[in-house]
Amino acid sequence: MSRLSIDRRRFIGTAAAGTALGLGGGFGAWPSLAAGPDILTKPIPKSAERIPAIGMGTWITFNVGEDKKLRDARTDVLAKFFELGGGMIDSSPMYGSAEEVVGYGLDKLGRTDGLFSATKVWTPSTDHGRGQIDDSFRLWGVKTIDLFQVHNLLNWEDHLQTLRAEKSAGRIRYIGITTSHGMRHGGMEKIMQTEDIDFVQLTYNAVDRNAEARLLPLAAERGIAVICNRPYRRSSLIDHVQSHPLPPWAADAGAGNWPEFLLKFIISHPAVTCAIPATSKVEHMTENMNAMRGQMPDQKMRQRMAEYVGDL
Amino acid sequence: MDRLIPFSPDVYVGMFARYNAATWPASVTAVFLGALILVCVRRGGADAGRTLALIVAAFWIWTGWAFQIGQYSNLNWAADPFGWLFIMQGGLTAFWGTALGRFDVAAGRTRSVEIGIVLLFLALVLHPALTFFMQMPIETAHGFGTAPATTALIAVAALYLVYGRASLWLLTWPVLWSAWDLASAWTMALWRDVPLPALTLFAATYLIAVRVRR
Ligand SMILES: NC(=O)c1ccc[n+]([C@@H]2O[C@H](COP(=O)([O-])OP(=O)(O)OC[C@H]3O[C@@H](n4cnc5c(N)ncnc54)[C@H](OP(=O)(O)O)[C@@H]3O)[C@@H](O)[C@H]2O)c1
Repeated sequence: MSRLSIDRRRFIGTAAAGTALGLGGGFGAWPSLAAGPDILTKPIPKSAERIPAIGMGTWITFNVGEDKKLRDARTDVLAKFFELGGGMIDSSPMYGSAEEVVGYGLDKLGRTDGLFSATKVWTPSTDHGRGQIDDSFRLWGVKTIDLFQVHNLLNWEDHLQTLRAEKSAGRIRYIGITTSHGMRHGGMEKIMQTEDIDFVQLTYNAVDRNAEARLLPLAAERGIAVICNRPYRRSSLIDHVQSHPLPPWAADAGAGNWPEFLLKFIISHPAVTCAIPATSKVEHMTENMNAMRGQMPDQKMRQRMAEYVGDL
Repeated sequence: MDRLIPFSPDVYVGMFARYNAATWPASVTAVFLGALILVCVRRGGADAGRTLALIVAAFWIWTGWAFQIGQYSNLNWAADPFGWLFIMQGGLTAFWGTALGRFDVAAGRTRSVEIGIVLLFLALVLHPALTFFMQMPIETAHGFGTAPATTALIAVAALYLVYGRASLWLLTWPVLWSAWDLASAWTMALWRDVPLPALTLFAATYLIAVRVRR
């Protein structure tokens, strides 16, 4: 937990939905996922700690450099994120000034209740990796980072060792690995089978569904939490679907607009822990966070949603 | 390509305004150095070549240090290695043109010299003009010899001003940089920033074609 402790509401708020998502060998029955009275949270299998099913990415959107006006505008996005129950913020040293801008925002807001900080180590050099890890603590302005991931599996053997040592020292709470764009799934699968990791991050959305075949079932089987990046395929997917009307049955999936439609598709998968859409706009943040509320689609509905989006 | 660009176009454009303000009056100094290039061209010969090489080297080193490493690295992890390559290009240009004395400025008004002067003029006015006509804030324009795109064009222009083809290898980095610069402007749909690297690539290709044929 960074800075302040995680909001207790998250641990109890949606117990019903969480229990229904209990993962064991395979996904079990696909329940009709009704989010609780508040927001949908999902358990991290290794600890049973619950986190909100929608987080926030920072690629491009938070890389605004020294521009004070833009930094303040992103702080407004951050404020809305926390106000609507957001938890995970994902960043990386690869994202230019994004970590620093998140740190600026957290500092300016002066409150980080519920923050689940997630960042990455991304370098071929083990020593440089150690420096990058230290830099992240400084840039975020936190004493503990909740999740440290090896970005794109780069030098993962050495970095996982470093991260394990940091985890034992109590500076990091969870460790994981990431990939995206459907790449390196073979390598990721091997690591998931052989290494003790808490999280994987991969690309999964209504049109990029490769992970469904092997990685998502494997994550469920091995008790690994799953973060889904590129939920909108960088804006190409959302821009494309938004030029079409929502299907009349979208309400049955609990979706009142396209962002909800696309995000609910992702977070209703039983193996998925959270999706991390990135945005630079407060109104988009509101739409994204609303996807954690209300009814969630069941398996049959998810299939229908994927087919509908695929046909557009 | 878009995976290599970790910022939005407006953030990139805004960075130039901050860079120009932070380094003022470097852009004015650079224009004076540009005028000195014209004096070198009038004089011609080996000494003028040494001065020309030092001026071009100064542009590379300044842009590498102040822009790439000092400013751009905040937005893009690749800017540090870019910066060192700029500085290395500056060092090589200085070494080639002064220690080895391989930058002999052509005497008289040859067609090549005329093209070189036109290119220098375009390095000065093209980007501000495009910025003005596209109604973007003028303080975001790329300064002569203080921004990567103008520096690469000036480096190509300088090679039009010197004799022979012995120095053509110095085109390697300006060509590679301009290809990258063009691809990133294209990917960001930042049309204002397309003509300058495109012109540099065209001018470099034409120079190689003409000198190698000779
Ligand atoms: N290998 C890796 O580890 C890896 C790779 C890729 C991504 N990631 C992580 O995953 C995160 C998400 O992926 P991404 O940023 O590539 O793409 P994304 O989240 O799929 O899409 C972001 C884009 O969607 C737009 N958007 C967001 N909410 C919207 C809404 N409600 N309505 C309309 N448009 C909306 C945003 O534009 P506006 O700013 O206008 O809202 C932005 O351009 C990244 O930020 C990063 O943290 C990790």
